[in-house]
Amino acid sequence: HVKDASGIPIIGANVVIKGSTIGSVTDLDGNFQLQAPQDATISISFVGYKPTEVKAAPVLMVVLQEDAVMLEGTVVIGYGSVKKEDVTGSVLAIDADKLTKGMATSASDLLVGKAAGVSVVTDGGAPGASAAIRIRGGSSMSASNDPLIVIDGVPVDNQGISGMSNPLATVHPSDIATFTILKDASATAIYGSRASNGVIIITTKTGKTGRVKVDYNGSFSVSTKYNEVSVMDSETFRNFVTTKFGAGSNQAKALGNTSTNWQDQIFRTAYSTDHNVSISGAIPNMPYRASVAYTNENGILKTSNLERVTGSLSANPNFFDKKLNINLNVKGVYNTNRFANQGAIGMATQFDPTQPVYMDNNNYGNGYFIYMKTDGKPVDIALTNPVAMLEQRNDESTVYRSIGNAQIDYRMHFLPDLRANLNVGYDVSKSEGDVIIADNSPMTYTSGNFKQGFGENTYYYQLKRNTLLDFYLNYAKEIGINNIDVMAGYSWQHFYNSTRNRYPYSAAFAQSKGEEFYKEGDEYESENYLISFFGRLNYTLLNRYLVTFTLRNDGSSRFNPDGRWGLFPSVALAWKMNEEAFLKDVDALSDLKLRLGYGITGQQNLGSSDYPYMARYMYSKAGANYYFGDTKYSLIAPLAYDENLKWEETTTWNAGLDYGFLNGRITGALDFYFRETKDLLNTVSVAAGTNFSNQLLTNVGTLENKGVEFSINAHPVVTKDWDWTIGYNISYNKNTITKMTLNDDPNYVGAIHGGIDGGTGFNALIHAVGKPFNSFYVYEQVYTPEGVPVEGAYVDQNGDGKTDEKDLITYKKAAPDVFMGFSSQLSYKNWDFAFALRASLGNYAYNNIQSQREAWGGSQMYDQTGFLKNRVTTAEYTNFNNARYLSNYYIQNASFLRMDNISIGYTFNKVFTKDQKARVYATVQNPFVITKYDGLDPEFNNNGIDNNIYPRPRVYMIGLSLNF
Amino acid sequence: CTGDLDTVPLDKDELVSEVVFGSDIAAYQQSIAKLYAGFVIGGNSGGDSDQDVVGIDGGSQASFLRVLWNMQELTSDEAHCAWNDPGIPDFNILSWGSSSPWIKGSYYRLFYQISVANAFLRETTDDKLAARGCSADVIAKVKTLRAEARYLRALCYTQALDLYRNVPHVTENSKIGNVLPDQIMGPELFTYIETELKECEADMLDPTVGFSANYGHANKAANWALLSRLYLNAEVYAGVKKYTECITYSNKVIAAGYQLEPVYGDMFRADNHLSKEMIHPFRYDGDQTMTWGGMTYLLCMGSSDMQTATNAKGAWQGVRAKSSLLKIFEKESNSTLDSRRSMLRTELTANVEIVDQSTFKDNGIPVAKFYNVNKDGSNPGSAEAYVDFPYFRLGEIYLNYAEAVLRGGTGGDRATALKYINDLRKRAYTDDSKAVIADADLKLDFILDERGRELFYEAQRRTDLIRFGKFTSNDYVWPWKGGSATGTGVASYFKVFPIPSDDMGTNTNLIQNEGY
Repeated sequence: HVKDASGIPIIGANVVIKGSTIGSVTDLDGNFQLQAPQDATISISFVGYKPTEVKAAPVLMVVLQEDAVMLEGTVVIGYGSVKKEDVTGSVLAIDADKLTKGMATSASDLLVGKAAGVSVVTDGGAPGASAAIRIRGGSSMSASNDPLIVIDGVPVDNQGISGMSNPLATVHPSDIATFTILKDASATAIYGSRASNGVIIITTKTGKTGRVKVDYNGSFSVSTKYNEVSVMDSETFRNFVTTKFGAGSNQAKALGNTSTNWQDQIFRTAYSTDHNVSISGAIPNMPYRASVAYTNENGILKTSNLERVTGSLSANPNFFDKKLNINLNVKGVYNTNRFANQGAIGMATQFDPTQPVYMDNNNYGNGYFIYMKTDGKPVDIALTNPVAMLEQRNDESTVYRSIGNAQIDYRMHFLPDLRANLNVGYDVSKSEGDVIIADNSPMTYTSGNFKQGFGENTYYYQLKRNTLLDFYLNYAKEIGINNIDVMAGYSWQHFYNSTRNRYPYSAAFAQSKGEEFYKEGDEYESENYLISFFGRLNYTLLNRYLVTFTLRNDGSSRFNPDGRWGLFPSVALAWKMNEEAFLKDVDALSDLKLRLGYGITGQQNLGSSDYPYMARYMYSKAGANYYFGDTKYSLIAPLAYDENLKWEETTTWNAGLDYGFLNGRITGALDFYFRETKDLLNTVSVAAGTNFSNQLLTNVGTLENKGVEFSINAHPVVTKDWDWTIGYNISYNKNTITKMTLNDDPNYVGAIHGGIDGGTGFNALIHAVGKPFNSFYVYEQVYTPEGVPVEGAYVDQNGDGKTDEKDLITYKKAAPDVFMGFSSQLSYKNWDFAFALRASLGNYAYNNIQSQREAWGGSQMYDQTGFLKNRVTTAEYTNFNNARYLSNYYIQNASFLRMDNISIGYTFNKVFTKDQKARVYATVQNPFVITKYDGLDPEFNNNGIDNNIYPRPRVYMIGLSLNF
Repeated sequence: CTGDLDTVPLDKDELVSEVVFGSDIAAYQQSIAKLYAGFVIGGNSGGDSDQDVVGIDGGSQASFLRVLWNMQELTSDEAHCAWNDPGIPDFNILSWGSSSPWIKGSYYRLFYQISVANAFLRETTDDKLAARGCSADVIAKVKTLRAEARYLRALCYTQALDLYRNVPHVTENSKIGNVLPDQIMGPELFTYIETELKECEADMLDPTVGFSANYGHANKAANWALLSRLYLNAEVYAGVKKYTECITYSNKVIAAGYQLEPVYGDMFRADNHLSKEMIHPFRYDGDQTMTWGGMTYLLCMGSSDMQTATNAKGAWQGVRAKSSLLKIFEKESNSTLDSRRSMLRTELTANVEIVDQSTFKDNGIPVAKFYNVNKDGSNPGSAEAYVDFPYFRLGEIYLNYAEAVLRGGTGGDRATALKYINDLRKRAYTDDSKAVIADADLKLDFILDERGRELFYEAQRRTDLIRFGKFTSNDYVWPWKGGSATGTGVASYFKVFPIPSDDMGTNTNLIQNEGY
């Protein structure tokens, strides 16, 4: 009888008399019978377990131990896998089940703070918010900086789907088995033109041979607002206005007589639940797993909600004595969203706190408070009631998406060292949504193109259909002291995208205006292809010296036929020093490997057009026509193009050291890298008159990233009752632009960008040579001896006696110098306790909320049509008459230390039977942030301009896991 | 199967040139329509979306008319804007630099238009039309459109000459892509424009007075009007006196039969496309030319007190007249009888002076010149702008003629000049007898004032002040000129705007205008 450590019979294990071909296989009950000589050794083996040998006996009871080394020892890399100890590049594998988790609704949530060199910043606290993932700082200026994400062999669309905030949410976090993060070029170059920003390979869970297992995980959580922008309350505001302008002034007359905290009015305490169930097992020769999950998440901003059902199905049958292995995966998501109008967040911080939420006896505004002119009509340039912005706007979407593939791997009967692998896959999504603004709501008088009381509604539809075919041959052979592994393949991918927008009018509009359209619909479709040839050679000598060489040739339909093929080589060397004689006997050292890598990778993810090299024309859309006589003509506009557009190229050098001590109790890695990106895909100014725009996407500029990453994982305490593991990682990255324009003009300050809220045309960011990209570009504030900023007084940098644009300086930047993650997991008997901390240092933010809501003069606080705008509490301190948008006073240190989550759990080892485990846990997500930053949250994505973020809630969660 | 890489756009609205242009006239008309629309709206989609000029605000800085208006009016003795947006206060006080988003927007708008005109000319050569199998009728029609493209390109170059003086020079023979055009200096650019206009004149449509099926197309009269304006300023642009030529071309326009709109204010109303005074309009047709710039701006920029009367879709309140504009009217004893003066709504302000540069109310004079209302008082289809902007109208030609005569041009005479001036004044005044001036009053300084009265808020004032030597000098000042409340002179280099820093950083062939 053969069973596993938990006593479950193992079905289908091989039982062989050693040194012979006589054998048998265990039956459904784990039993076997075998005629063997008395002194024979019987060897029993089964995949995933350590082979065991026993002496023959009339009755044998064999317990197979799970082979942890084998399960954990393989690392998935592009088009194959290698033993972890044979990895030559900067590759990090993370076991998803071992991560400390807060409320994770997508794969990106799991990675926050977990890996050196990988920064994950969510787009605020909205349900299902997406996240910006950056590996080693990003290498592009105008093209995408998102890493390539490969889920079970299918490179997925990470470019956004209409109506779905986070495209990674297609896979429920509980279905994820491992993440493999490929960081340096020697690891990523096998993905060629899409590899410059790193690659994240996600592998989902599969079934295992053995008994049928059922897992359930459910949680319930409560989200609360824990911070708000410090604006004046009604009394303070009333006093401020009266003090500034006098009791009889127009300003004072505009004050209302109620007291409203608008930030309380728009936020709420929100409740969410998440449940998932999976079943896994194996029908002989076919492990399978099926799971389904349901998520219902309410956001703290009123009306925001996400409801999602995800499912996944995998089957991994094998045939012909495992010579033919087939992997089938299908994943799907059905997602409905109601998006809250996030403009209400910023609006709530400036809407007059002396005005009420509702008003009676007004034909306008559906009962919500609305500013009225003396002629009895709504003020068209007024601020809009934030509560109405939420409740009178219904923005709902429905999204279907499925990712699936079939991977057929065949080991040749005649030549077992040769393997052929065919992978066909798809990634299809269909989404549609409606944005409906209630007729006569306050918004219909203050925003949109008409301001006549009609909701300007939108319907959108998007279909994305990406298909994939990969084929490769792999030959692996050990010849004496040489180990050779060669792979060569071909890949074909097609990306298709179509969108359709309609602007249906409301019944009231149609009645009022007749059946005339007010806005024509529009639609668009495009496609692109990516075709590749690739190969890899792994050579190992004496199990100590390793060489990896990869080459990929990519062709993209996005580029001119003359320049569309790009060649991306890489080479890596590794030296397993601990295998050398002089270290082999050092018991404390369990692993020491030196890695050196070099490679070139590309970037073609333009994020804009699929045909940027072609001379194209575009018909105008609604509202852009011209009349000759009484005849209306739509317009044909030539589009800007660069016929020589080509790949962006990044060259990466990497030196790393993997270490392990005390039999793996302490492990980690140290990496140094230098990356230079040239021919940047960059939207830059072009010489006037030479194209059909003043800016063009072209290849210009170079930038560098250099950095250091260090990680350590330790297992300091392991006793019968206690188990403690900790992980720490720290990353440093320095980004410098080394060339910006086609011509090196020393007088060119750089590309100014980064529009801010407030006056039209203010920009606070610059890409300048010699500086990190997205540096701030501002005046240096002059302060009184007491440290109060002097309004409008800036340092005259060039000493010409006046302060003008020549005195602007590049100052700080949004990206951190250093970021770190620290996590700890401690268990004592049945109790477990875990937390995850994260820090970011040297990142600065432009506090646009403050800069826009601090000045009180002119029209900044009072509009002559008779309404007031609330000010931040610091307005009294700075006492600025005019907004000083470009003062570096508003560039503030946003370094922070955040506790991502703390959790405590208790495991019941035996529920009904001893195979039935249960764990209950409680987690607090986002319990605290330590920062000097004055804004709402020091962490946001917007290149450092903080103007309207959905605040991250504090979340209290309780959950239950069951394993049968 | 690497052949898959040879894709072509799938969308029916996104086309390569071989597909766009065939033997049918429609695509050629739609292409020239884009060129015309580029003076009117900011992008290829309503509300200035799909911007032509990017990286700046589509409805304001990228709008040909809105930014031109700001550069010509806010910098002058006529208008002031209280907004704090970057570059706006700089216009008010005549202190701008090469990174002003407005200066950038204006410059790139002009060169966008020039590029589109060049593309049209490249795509419509005789060879290409013949190769596409165009009929003789289509070829003839396209020939007219080609002449219009050249005229519109010359118009843009004239504007560039006026604002920036020395600019990059590109024609239909220039390459698209990574090339750096050479700079052309004022005098050479003047000659180029003059030559172009004369060459394309013959193929343009004959003048049509009033509304017709071709209303919106520029015809020969527009060409002559542009030459009239160009020659009037030739001394500034190229250092040569061309007043005789100015008279010649003014006469041609006048001879074409245009007539003054009987009531001055009707020239600026929603149905002014019917006016017999209109020579070259920028057409605005409600929600078909949806923009936050252009005429929408001219309707909305002022006080909310007038919004209902003007049927503007908004009241943005920032712009008002300086007291110096009022003074130009009040130089005349009977100014209260001048209907143009009554557009300055002094009754809506407690203070005609701009005491505080950034305060909106009771701080300068609200102006209502443009009305989104028909002559008969009815409203057009919506509050979207329907008023066409008169880029050239007969009134200006009369003034050009008179000034050119006074400046010594031949081919005209004082009596006719006096008649034209008095025609304009009689139209404006409620009492003809109080309107007329005597020959002795007809002096150059009077012409400058009369241009102020007749053409105020029509985006011409800066050019006029420069021609009269009064734009930067200390002998003629207005509130906030040079940054002081009473006004002071500024350095003379402010007569031309700087080439935007973006193009200076890109095109190494360019030499920055002196002073910047």
